[in-house]
Amino acid sequence: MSDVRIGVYVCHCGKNIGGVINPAKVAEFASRLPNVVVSRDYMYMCSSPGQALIEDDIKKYNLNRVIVAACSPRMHEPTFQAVLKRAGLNPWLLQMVNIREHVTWVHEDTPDKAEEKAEELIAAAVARAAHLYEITTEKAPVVKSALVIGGGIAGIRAALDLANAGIKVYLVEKKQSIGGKMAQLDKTFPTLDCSKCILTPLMVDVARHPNIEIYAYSEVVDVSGSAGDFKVKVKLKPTYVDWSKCTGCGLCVEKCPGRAPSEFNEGLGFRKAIYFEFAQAVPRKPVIDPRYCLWFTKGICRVCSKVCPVGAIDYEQKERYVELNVGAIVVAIGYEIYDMSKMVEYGYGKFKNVITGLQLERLSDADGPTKGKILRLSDGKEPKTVAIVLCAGSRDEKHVKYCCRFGCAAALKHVYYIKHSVPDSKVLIFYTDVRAFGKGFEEFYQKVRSWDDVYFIRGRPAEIFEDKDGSLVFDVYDSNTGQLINVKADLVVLESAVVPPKDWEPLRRLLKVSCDPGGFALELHPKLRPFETTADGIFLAGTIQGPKDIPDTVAHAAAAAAAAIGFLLKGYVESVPYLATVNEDLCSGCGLCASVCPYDAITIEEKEGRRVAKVNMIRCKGCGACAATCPSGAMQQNYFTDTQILSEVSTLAGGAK
Amino acid sequence: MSLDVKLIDKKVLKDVIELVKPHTPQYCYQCAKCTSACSTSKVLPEYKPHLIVALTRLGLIKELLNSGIIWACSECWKCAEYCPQDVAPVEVVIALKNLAISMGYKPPEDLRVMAKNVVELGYISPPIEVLSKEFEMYSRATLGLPQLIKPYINVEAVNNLKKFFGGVYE
Repeated sequence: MSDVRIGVYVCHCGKNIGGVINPAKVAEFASRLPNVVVSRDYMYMCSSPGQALIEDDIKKYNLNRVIVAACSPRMHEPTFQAVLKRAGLNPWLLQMVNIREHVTWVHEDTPDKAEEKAEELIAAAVARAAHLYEITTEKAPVVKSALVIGGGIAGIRAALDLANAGIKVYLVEKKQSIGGKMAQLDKTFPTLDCSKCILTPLMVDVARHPNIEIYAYSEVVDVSGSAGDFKVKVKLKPTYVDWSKCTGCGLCVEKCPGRAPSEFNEGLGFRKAIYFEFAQAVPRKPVIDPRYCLWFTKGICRVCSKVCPVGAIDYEQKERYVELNVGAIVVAIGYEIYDMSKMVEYGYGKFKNVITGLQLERLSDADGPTKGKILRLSDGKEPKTVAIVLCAGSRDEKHVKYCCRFGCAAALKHVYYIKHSVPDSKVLIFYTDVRAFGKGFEEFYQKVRSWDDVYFIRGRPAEIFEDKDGSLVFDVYDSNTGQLINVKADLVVLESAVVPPKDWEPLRRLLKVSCDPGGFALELHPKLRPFETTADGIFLAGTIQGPKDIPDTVAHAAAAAAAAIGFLLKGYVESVPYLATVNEDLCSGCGLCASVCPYDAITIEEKEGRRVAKVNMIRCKGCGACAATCPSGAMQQNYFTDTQILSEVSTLAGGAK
Repeated sequence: MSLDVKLIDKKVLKDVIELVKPHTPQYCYQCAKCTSACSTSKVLPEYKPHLIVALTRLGLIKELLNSGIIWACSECWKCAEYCPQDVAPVEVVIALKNLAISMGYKPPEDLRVMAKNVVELGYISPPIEVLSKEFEMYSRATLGLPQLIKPYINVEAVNNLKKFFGGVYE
């Protein structure tokens, strides 16, 4: 290796390094190491004069390896790689030695030993540097289209933003209509504007947008490929209605004699067996639910096909599949309400007059089962005393550990519904903390506190019992007054906990997105990159990343769309430098590497009559799993080859001097 | 009662934290769901499990032991069942009872009588009358019920127990 010419640069980092060890002495030590042509120390190596020093030396001494002993590579590796590039060297001929975080910051009390450690680390880096080689990356074009999974407010906003930027968008929604949870709400806090009035115009925009294609009543069943070039298989569930013929007149729905519990109304009231999700459904094309359709269950009826003026009913319809090719995926599948019957002490599911907040939304909605009148489910009477229980299942080690983030504000809104529907009612709010954190929330909370016959009680019911007349009785300790309060309420509203959708897990595995302890999708960074994932090209919008209210969901979705737009309009994806590479002469084609690769980047291919592994440069993310698994050493990872690591380790083990 | 931060006793608090593991009194966010549920609180309103936990995590444990309130717990375990933070106030109370005995605090006289009765009679109190659902007393004889048989007591085992544990009985 006579042609290896190394320059070593020891940084003082002000007093961070220079205050503990003597960089000049360390640089002097380094100058005596093999292959080292020049060795210097400088106050701030990352400053312009520091960088110029290295750049000039590379040209002057004809260096072909550079070692910078300074801070963590996470901090300044890109800075010094740029120096090498400017001087005409491949950036991967740089080796950083971390003598700040790994040495001076942690061994401040023992400067002599710290200096020795710095010297040993530099000696190891010098040995390693001899084995560095030039690394080039590969670029692949990006397909300028996006898939948005989930048609709630997050998916709608993301789809519209992407489409307005000129990107082709496929919006996949599992239900008959887009709209999501927001369509189920009566009003939105804290301004109390009608939820549907602000949502449905956006739904229509989506339907009309030339760049958006909606796949309603569909599910993503397979995802392959990689960032910039995903292949997505979408299952179009059988609707038993030919949507290309259907005009959305609704005659079939009107005449259908079949009845089914309405999912949109949270199980309160009924819908037909052929149905629209709700009146303003987009697309306005009905589906038949074969579980309740008389033709499917009993072989009679066929009324819908008789009344349909265009002959769109097709009982023989089978599920169909479409293959989409997209560059980016936005996951916006939302959340679900926690099953409150698991919280046995509150009697949900057992006592008719214990309902969830979302059910109250349906009761309050003019389009709901009671046409907007809040009534008791047991006898249809107006509730005169209503108890609202906050944190029902949330912040609970036995149920859902985290805060639902909108229950408090929703409860305030629910007070309004109740007082509006039954003005002479008494509303009791049982809270632990009222977290009115959003813009305008505290002002709303203050307003609600001032309303007549609205009582905030700082306590939490433990056991709710049902009285003979269907009302609910329970004791609550109010820690403000220090008294136990006996309550008899006509209606109990549980501001229930929220969880990720039950059917999310298979999709999460397809997308290779990690999850947090609550099961929500894990963001790339909790503060700085909250809408990206560890999987390139896959973005998160809305509550699938964690509970959010509507303003936060919309902001998150727009941010996800912006990130996806940036990714797509850049036009290419670049391979990572730390790629796995195969030495085909050593490879036996055993395929162990392919089986451990989490990115499906390795294939075993026939080459000159034998099987060898082949790495897809774009898909490989440089995790190193294959290199660690390979029994023959044929699979090596760039910048972390066995030779590089072993030369470093053996130098450390042998001592520097 | 006014509290003074100087009264905070970190050493005793550490003992309690050790005793109630894996429950963590510091997790308590004072929702007072335990007190909403508490059976004892219904008959003895000054008994408040959430307050016991609040005083405990503040390190005001000696004040709590001096008050003697911990001995009122009927150990129905509802607080542990419903506690959203798995603090299980009853476990804290049991830990405090054990700590009280080891620190030389004397339990209430009634409790010692009960312990004595269990050892000597096999019952907490001598069984004499029968209580109806309407809280009326009847003697066993008028109801035609047989005389109760004194339960078998393994004297040696009881003496061993007394020797090993001492505690409330002493």
